[in-house]
Amino acid sequence: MPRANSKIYLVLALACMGGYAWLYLNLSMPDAVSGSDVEMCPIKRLTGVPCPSCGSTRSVVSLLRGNVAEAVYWNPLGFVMVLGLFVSPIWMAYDYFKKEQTLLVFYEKTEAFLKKKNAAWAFALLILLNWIWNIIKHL
Amino acid sequence: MDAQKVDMFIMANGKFFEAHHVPQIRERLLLLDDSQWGMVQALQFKDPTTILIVSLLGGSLGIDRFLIGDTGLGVGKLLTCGGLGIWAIIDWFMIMGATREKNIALLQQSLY
Repeated sequence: MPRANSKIYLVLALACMGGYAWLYLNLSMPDAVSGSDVEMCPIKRLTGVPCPSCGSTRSVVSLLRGNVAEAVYWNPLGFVMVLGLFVSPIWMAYDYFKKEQTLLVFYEKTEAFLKKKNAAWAFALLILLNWIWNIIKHL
Repeated sequence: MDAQKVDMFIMANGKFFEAHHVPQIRERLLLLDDSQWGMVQALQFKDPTTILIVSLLGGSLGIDRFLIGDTGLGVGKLLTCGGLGIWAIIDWFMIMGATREKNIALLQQSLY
């Protein structure tokens, strides 16, 4: 029986494809996709203020080139993205071939954890701090 | 339950559900015991229009998804600038339906 959240496989697959396509563009022709003309973030486009995850593309690219310190400077969230981009396709393939739903169970557990008050506040605080840092850095 | 009460509920809360779900809801409520009326009345549904406004304004931070209880997807949107802005736009069209699905899930949860 399909579970209520089973569409996350589709969402995750699309997100991964989008992420890899964007990463490929950034790695293969860095000049074409950098600069303000191709600013992808709608918040930064509209207001000029960076959003909490601005800079994570630059962070991922720096990380892939081996500059860990630079990656932290651009946006610590880049580490989360690299982890997600590497792990989730493998995990989805595992679930697909084994006909299991381990990823879905993990997703639901994470979601339940994030809905707890303390975890939610801690998460929000971290994102907020990162956002303030982004604004100070003028990303 | 009394048909009049059920119709009153449908009239007041119909906008919170998909149109094709409404007949089912009506039938289910008619079978319901009168003692559960108070509980059904007290349920808080999310207004799809309000969520749409939130989605238009704060969609690229995932606030719309957080509000309807899709915390995981909300985090996903938040961490990716609303999916490079694309997911945020897609959600302008998806979020009302998603809200209605959440509402029917809430109703079903409390009835069974």
